[in-house]
This record gives sequence, structure tokens and C-alpha cells, in this order.
Amino acid sequence: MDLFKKESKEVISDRAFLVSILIQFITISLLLFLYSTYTEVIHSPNLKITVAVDTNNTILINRLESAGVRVILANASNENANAVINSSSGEVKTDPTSIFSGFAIAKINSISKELSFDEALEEKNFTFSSFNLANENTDFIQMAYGLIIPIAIIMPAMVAMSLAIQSILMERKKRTIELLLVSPLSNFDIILSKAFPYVLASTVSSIAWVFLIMRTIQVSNFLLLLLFEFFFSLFLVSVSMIISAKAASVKEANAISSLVGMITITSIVIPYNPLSLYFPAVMIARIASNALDSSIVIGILSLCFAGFLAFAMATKSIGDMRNNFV
Amino acid sequence: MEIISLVRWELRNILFDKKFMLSIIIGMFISLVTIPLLMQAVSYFKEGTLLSALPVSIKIIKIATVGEHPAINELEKDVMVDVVRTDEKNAFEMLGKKEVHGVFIVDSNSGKFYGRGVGLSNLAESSVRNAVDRILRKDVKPAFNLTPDLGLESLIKSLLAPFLLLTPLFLWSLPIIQSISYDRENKIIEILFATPASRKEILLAKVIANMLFAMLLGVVWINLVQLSGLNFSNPFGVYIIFLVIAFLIISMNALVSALSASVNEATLASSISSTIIVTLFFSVTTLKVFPATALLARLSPATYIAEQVGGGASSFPLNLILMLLIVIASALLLAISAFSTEAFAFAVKPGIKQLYEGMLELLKSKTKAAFAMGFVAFSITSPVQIIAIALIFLISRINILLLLAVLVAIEEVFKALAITIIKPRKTNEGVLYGSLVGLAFGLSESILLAPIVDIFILIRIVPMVVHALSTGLFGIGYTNKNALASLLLAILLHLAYNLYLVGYL
Repeated sequence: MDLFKKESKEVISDRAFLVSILIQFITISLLLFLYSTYTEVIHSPNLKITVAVDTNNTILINRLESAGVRVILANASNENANAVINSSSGEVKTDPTSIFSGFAIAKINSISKELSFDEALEEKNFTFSSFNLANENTDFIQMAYGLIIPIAIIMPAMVAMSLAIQSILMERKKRTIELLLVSPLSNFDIILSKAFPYVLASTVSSIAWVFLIMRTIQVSNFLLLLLFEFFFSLFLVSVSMIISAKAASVKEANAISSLVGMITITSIVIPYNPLSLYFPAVMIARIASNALDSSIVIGILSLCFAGFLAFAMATKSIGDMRNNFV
Repeated sequence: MEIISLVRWELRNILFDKKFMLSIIIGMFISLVTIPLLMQAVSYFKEGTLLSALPVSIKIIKIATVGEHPAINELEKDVMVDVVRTDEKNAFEMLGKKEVHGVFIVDSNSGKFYGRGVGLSNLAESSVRNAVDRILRKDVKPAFNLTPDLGLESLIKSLLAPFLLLTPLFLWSLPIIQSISYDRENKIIEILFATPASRKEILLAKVIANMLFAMLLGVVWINLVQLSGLNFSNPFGVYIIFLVIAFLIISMNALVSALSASVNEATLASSISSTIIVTLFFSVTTLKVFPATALLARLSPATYIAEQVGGGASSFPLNLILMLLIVIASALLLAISAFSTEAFAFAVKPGIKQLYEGMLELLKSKTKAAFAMGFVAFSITSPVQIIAIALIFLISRINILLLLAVLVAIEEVFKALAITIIKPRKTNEGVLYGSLVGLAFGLSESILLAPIVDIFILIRIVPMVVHALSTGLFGIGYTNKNALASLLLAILLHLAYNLYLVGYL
């Protein structure tokens, strides 16, 4: 317990840890800021997007105007138009010098989709109606669940991992690990008091980030997310304990931990397959957006298993070290 | 002679570390697998967000469907949607228990969607709408197609290429941290200091060894990358750019490890600095997207790599490379200065004063040190300026007046900081060192800007004089205890010239 207290104090007073907390805070708030700004801006009536149309197509003009776009006739004057629509050929010319042209393209695109959809409904004699939708802008909601929440969960765990990698390695270099190995503390006690401060620190920081996010985005299964974070950081921290107990040098340990980071990032770009459901980023997005279902339960259980397995292996690696030493 | 044997020794340390080499190879392999996967993901990106191309939002929405219609089969193909086929009563029960985000009731001529008033229900509705749309317009061309083609796909591919190419550098530049910080912690550095080699030679040997390692791997890497689907029209040019960026990261790592007190700190600082370097180059390259800022993208060496992937035959950015070499030289100079101070041996962080003293010792003359400080000031100023440009761009549409004022103020402040470190005492010293700092600064700036602005004479000579004048002015003010007033005067002088240049005056 004393060792646990000492390690916790070291983690909290570590300057690197404090800097990482600051960087995480900045990243999360920046993402949230971008999320709400994008969503606000694209629907803001103050956004001065001007689109020039060549014909007097009332349906198109009405749609554009109700989307908050100022519409002018193309022939009259093209000054300050972000985009010019040639409605007979369907061609759109944009003014690339203005950063607002991107918004114009997005709006024209969605309006063109709506128009085609309505026309197709009419032609095929099909009615489509929807009820009880949220009265809010949801253009970037995929970004919220697919990106911001996974980052808030994965980032603290990755930081804990990269900080924890040094802990046993440094004790080995300074030869203070030998004191621990000859002490009456069991392997389990040593690993527990080494790993848990990092696991707890990452869980607590991700609680803070999720709370921050919940002010903007609706998050379901808050407790389950924290459980995920706990097991995920338990797994990563235990892996880094194993690395730092086995690695011969700092360079090697850093190289291996960079590799683990690269693998985690690579898992994001692997194309869709049946296993995709159990990739960390996907699981986090699903937990935050869905009600509990079987694949979430299976995912969390296997993560829990992986976490405890890695923890047991870390304990064993301390045992190996003790056997070699004694 | 010592330096050659030192380099051989350092290189052997790197190459014979089996596990490190293994992780390098695995890292290259992972990057190689990532490239085609990411490129494939980008090719899905025609409309909508990049996120819909990446499998991160798999089954984030669940929809209960009632009835039979081809649109439901179409909906099931959407990876974002989890479809539950059920009856009407059960469907609304699930909706009430918040188990699904929406209910879709469909028959042969009508479809109704019921959400539950949350943002995700809107996402579910648009997925259903898309599925119905795809079924209804199966063979019919869109009635009114306005989809603009910006060539986004190839643009994103070319932007991603430099990023993917540069990622292995994070691993490749680790040995220099090991051989500086870790050698000190293990007292190996004391043995090295006891050899006849000077400290300058010891540090240079470490940098050269790491650089040779990167050069060797670079040849393999550039060839492997071309096998995995990125083709460069001029691989040799890409290789040179790659090496220069490697050199930059390695010298920055040498600098941070010489400055930091422990391995931990050095590792953290190096990962921050390498991330900043790669991100900065990458984000400047993305300015290619807007024709208005495409010219600014030329300030990043990564742009050349991006253009090479696009198949364009762009000219090699020689000026940019020269400028980067100046930055590298400044970083190395500072690293050697830090390495030579006693603070390094005692693992204490050297202060700026000590660093300057180390530099003075190395260059053996105050005028040379002042000239070098001009380059150092420039190396720090340019990334700060890029960030400032980005911020201004974010806040307002480009406002030339505001932009120029901020950029000029940043330049003058950093040059003034250099003077306060040199601490001239007499007025003539102030003028001399001030103009030397300004001259070195102006020289680097002219090299950087030459390919962008084509008014050669004005760019090459007059601005250098302006820089020298304005900092000389600050030198006079500083030695006569009027630092703030003279700084303002220097900013005004410089701003007036720049305004004249863009035609405001």
C-alpha cells in the first residue's frame, strides 16, 4: 500500500503527466469547438454564402434560400458569388479563393440530393414521411461518435501506456528494482502498485473528458464507457509493464511502444470485416451511441479477459526477474 | 581521425541492436500495409465526410424495420446501420425502451420513419432516406445532378502521401536520444569525454551515425513505398527531401536531448518536437487545397512529395532546402553549445545565458555568435509565423494589413530577444550586433521567399538591409535603455517597408 501511495504521488507530480493532461484537454476542447462551430456555421443565417443561378428555377431557388443561401441571378452580376450553378448541364463552378466555397458546395450538394429524391418519389408514386426527429443540426454527428468520443477514451490510455513504459525500466537502470525484489512484497503487489496509478489516472482523466463531451453530445452508457476505459488502459499499461521488464534499453522500449501505438492507429483503416465490430474505436462509438447488445457485451468481456491476461503476464515477468536475480 | 572511429562505434551500436532493428522492420511493414488500405479508404470518399469512408462508425445506429421492401435490403448494406426486422408492436416497444434509434415502416408505396428525437435519429433517417433513394433511382439518372467534381480524391491521396512517407522517421530518430541522454545516465559519456575527441566531435559523430542509418534505410524505404502503390515521378528528389526532413528531426532530437535533464524528458520532448515538425509541414501542404493559398504551400517540403505523387513535374525546391539547412545548422549549433556546457555533464538544464556562452566558446568571437543568433532567431520565428498565419486565416478572411503587422511584430520581437541575450553594452556594439542579427535573419528570409516573390532585387538586397537597419535600431535603443520605444520604431520601419512592397503606400 505504501508503494502504491509512493507510485501514485510520482505519477501525479510527474511533469510529463501534467503536460499530457493539458495537451489532452486542449485537443478535446479544440475538437468540440470545431464540432459545434462547423455545425453552427453551416446553418448560420449570418454566413454570407452567395450562389448564382442561371435560370429562374423557383424550386431550386426556394430550396437554396430556405437553406440560408443568398441567391442571385447569374447573368446579372457574378460578383462575390461563392458558386455559380448552370442548371441545364448540372455544372457548378466555385470561387476557390474564398474559404466559404466549401460550405456552398456542401449546401448545393445536399439540396441537389433532396431535389432528386423528391422527383424520384413522385415518379415512382412513393410517399416518404418522417416523424419525431431531433430539432438540431446533425451534419457532423458521425464525427462526434466516430472520432471525438473514441479519442477521449483512447488518448488517456495511450498516454498512460507511454508514461508507464519508463517506470520499471528506470528502476532497473537505477538498480532500485533490486530493493523491491528482495523486499517481502509479492510480484502481484509490485505490479499492482506500479500499474494501478497509471490505470486510475487515465480512467479519471477520461471521466473528465467524457463529462466535457456530454455537455455537447449525448452519450449513452457512461458507466460502460468507463469500464471500457479501465480495462483498455489496464491492458495497455500491463503490456508496457511487460515491455519495460523485458526490454534491454530505453531505445528498444520506446521503439516497441511506438509500434503498439502504430498498430492501434492502423486498426482504424482496416476495411470493414466481421471483426471490425470489436476494434476499440468502433466499440467505443457503439457503446456511446447504442443500447447494450450482445456484441458490446462480448467485446467488453474479451477486453476484460485480455486486460487481466496481460496483467497476469506482467506479474509473471516480475517473477522471472526475481528468479533471475535471486 | 577520432570522429571516424566514433561514428563507426555509434553506427555499430545502432545496427547491432537486434530488437531495435526488428521493431524498425516491423514498423516499416505496418506503414507499408497502411498505405494501400488508407488509399483504398480515400477512394470511397467521393461525397460526404472522410469518416464515412473509414470503418469507425460501424453500426452506430440501430433501426427496427416493419414490412417488406427492397429498400430494407439496401439499408442492410449500409455498414453504419444495424437493422432489426420485427413487427409493428415490438418495434415501437423497442423505440420506447430506447433500444433502437428509429422505426421504419414500409410497404410497396409508402415509407414512414419514426425517430425518438435525438441527434442519432436524424442520422438514422438520412440512412433510410439514402436507401430508399438508391432503390427508387436504380436505373434512372439523377433528375438534377449538381455534384461538383473538385478532384478531391486525388488531392487527398497526394496530401496523405508525405504524411505516410514521413511516419517511420519517428522511429528512425530514436538512436540519437538514446546515445545522448541514455549514455549520460549510464556514465558512458564520461568515458567519451575522457577520449582525445572534443565535445563537438563527439556530438557530431552521434548525429552523423544516426544520419547514415537514416540514409541507408531511406533508400530501402523509398523503394518499398513505390512497390506499395505510391509512385513518384522523381524518386531521387523525394529521397533528398526525405533525408533533409530526417536530418531536421535528428538535429532537433539532438538539441532536446542535450537540453533535457533525463531520458524521460528527452523522449517526451522529442516526440512533441517531431510531431510538431511533421504536423506543421503537413498542414502547410494542405494549403494546396485552396488556390488562394496554394503559393504558401510551397513553404513546406512535403508539398514537393505531394506533387510528385500527383504525377506533376514540379521543380525541386532548392531554396527551401537551403532554408531548412539553415534551421538544421542552428539546431545543431545550439545542440553542440548545450552539449559543451558543464550543465550537460551534471544533467542540469542549461539556461539561455549558459547556452549563449557555450556558443560563444564554440565560435570564439562575439560577432560570429551575433550572426549565428540571427539564424537561430529565424529558425524559431518561421514556425511561430506559420501558426500566426493559420490563426489569422481562421479568424478573418485574409486581411493583408493585419497579417503583415502581426508577422512583422513577431519577426522584430524575436530578433530583439536575440539582442537581449547577446547583451551589447555600448552603442557601437548594439549597432554592430543588431545589424548582424538582422542581416542573418534577412538572408534566411530571402532564401525562403525567393521562389514565392519574383521581385528579385527587392527581395534579395533591400529586405536584408531593412532587417539589418531595424534590428540595428533596436540595438541602439537597447544599449541606451530605450528598448521598448526602439522595438516599436523597428516594427514601424519594417512594416512601412513591407506595406510599400505590397503597394499600400
